[in-house]
Amino acid sequence: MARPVGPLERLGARVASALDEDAAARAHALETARRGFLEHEPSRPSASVWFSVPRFRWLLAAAGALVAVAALVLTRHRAAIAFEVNNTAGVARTWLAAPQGAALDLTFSEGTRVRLEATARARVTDIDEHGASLTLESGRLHAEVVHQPDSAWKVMAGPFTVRVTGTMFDVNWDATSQQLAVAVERGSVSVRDASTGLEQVVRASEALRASGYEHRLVVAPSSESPAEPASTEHAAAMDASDGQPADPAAVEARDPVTPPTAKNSDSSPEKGSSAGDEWRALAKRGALREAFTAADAAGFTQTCAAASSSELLLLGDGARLSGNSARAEEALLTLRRRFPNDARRAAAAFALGKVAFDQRRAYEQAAAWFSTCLREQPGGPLARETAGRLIEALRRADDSAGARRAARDYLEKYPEGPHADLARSVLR
Amino acid sequence: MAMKLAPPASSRPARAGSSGEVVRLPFVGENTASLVAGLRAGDPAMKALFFTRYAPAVERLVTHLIGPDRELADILQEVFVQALSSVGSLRDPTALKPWLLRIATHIARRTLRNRTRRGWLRFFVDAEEEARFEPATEELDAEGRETVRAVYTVLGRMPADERIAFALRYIDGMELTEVAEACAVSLATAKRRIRRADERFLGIAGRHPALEKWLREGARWQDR
Repeated sequence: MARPVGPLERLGARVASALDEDAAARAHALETARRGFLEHEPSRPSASVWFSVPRFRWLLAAAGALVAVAALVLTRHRAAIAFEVNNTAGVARTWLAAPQGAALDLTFSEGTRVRLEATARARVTDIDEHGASLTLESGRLHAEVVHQPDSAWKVMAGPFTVRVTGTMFDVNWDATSQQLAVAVERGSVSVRDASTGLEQVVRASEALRASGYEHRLVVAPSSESPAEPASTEHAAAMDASDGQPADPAAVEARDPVTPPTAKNSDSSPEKGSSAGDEWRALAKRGALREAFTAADAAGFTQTCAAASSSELLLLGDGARLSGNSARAEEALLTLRRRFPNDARRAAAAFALGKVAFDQRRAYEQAAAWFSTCLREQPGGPLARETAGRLIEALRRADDSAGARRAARDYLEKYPEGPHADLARSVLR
Repeated sequence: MAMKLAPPASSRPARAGSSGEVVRLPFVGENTASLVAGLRAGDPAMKALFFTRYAPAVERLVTHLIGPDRELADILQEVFVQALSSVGSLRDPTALKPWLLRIATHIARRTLRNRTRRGWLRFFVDAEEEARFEPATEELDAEGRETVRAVYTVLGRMPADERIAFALRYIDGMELTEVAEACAVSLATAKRRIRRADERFLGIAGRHPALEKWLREGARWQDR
């Protein structure tokens, strides 16, 4: 039986909702805590019963806190790590591009070494006394991270984050195909897909392959590189649905671009032109913002008219990352109109929902797009994330009945999903 | 470099067979027992996964219990450090999440009690306490912020046990049995605390303008 909702419940829900608005500060606290926790060198976990023995709780908790504080004090006095690039002082947040046929060696002052293989592009986005964050834009890197009790290193590639303590591993990222490969030679890493929340540990002698489009993480012995994650089963599922959006359909109809309908989504008549070459080359390197700028300069509408469906998704991403929501919508809507049977239509609907939610703060429209994505691919790889985002969008749109429906649907399908707590809170 | 890595966009079909067979490992989230075993063994990757998986729920609970707080990161860290150090005492690995939330509740309660003790030593309003309620961004709505400030100001004048019970029940939205579990008390004790908390909250909140509109419906509360 549903719990009665009185004024105190309503007041409490209002407080919880207002607290949710402070997401940025709370996320920052989470990240700070994460780092502190991972830096903390635990005493050996044991079958201690201290927590169940009241008389000793305070003493042991105080001792634990003292150890934590002492560890923090000690570690915070260590000097920040510096790095060199081919024996020249490195500068954080500067793009590093390995030329054709040669590698770039990054040497960090505490002993960690990272090699950018030929043509790879990356930058050190953050560095302190505990480690560094590297963003791999494209290509392959090899890392040998020195283990310290409080090491905190990570490599970010697209939606994926590879977290490292001390280990030797390779990362290969193809931004165009959104394919990631990680092979661990020593130690272990954990790979997280930010778009789904999925996380997978990869240990020594294992390799992982992941797809930013298909949201699957596949591990195999590294002696045999993991097989291609895309499956015919998935492709069939994506092709099977062809639902039409409700509100979004009106948006599509209003769109002034009227390119010819293409049956082959990978056909791209302008591929040989110089303008097309420039943005495609940039996109292939993973420089999506630059690719968008080049495409915009060359005539965005014409570029969209000539692009394949996968290229339109990239153009949409580039525009979205550049903060140009109008162009992002143009590319994504073009994809949906020109390729009525393409599997990527649902991904475009999801991206349109994100643009509406994150950039336009048009929550009703975002909800309509997320619903469209779910209708078109109810069992697709984006379904769980989309179902969660739908709850958020309906909640922000003050559609409490819709949010409750979406929350019930979510819990029915994903009781342990990343949005399960949110769904339960909506139903309370 | 010994490791051989094929290009990511390989078009090779999936292989089968003993040496090259693709292994679909279960995600840790689907297997709490393996996560607990990894934590007990001191596996650093499991430690990272432990935090990634459960920190959002812990953060949400702690924020609901104590409100916006500059020490949130420290409290979260302490929760996980304590949980890790006592994971050996966890009898049922499948009960990892409620066990962790119980630790979080316990630490939040201790934090509140310590602050209450420190409060006796202060004569003036702590500017930092006030700043806790300032918005991190301009996007926070003023009415919601004012409600949050008022509620936690009222809760700040209540005993820690009652405050915890009230926050768990109404802000976090827990059922009575969940409140009892989080507080590690009997159901009867949880009900008693909530009843007292209701009465005390009403008594103090009646003097707070920002809570006036909520109190207008107060007469109905007695009928629950």
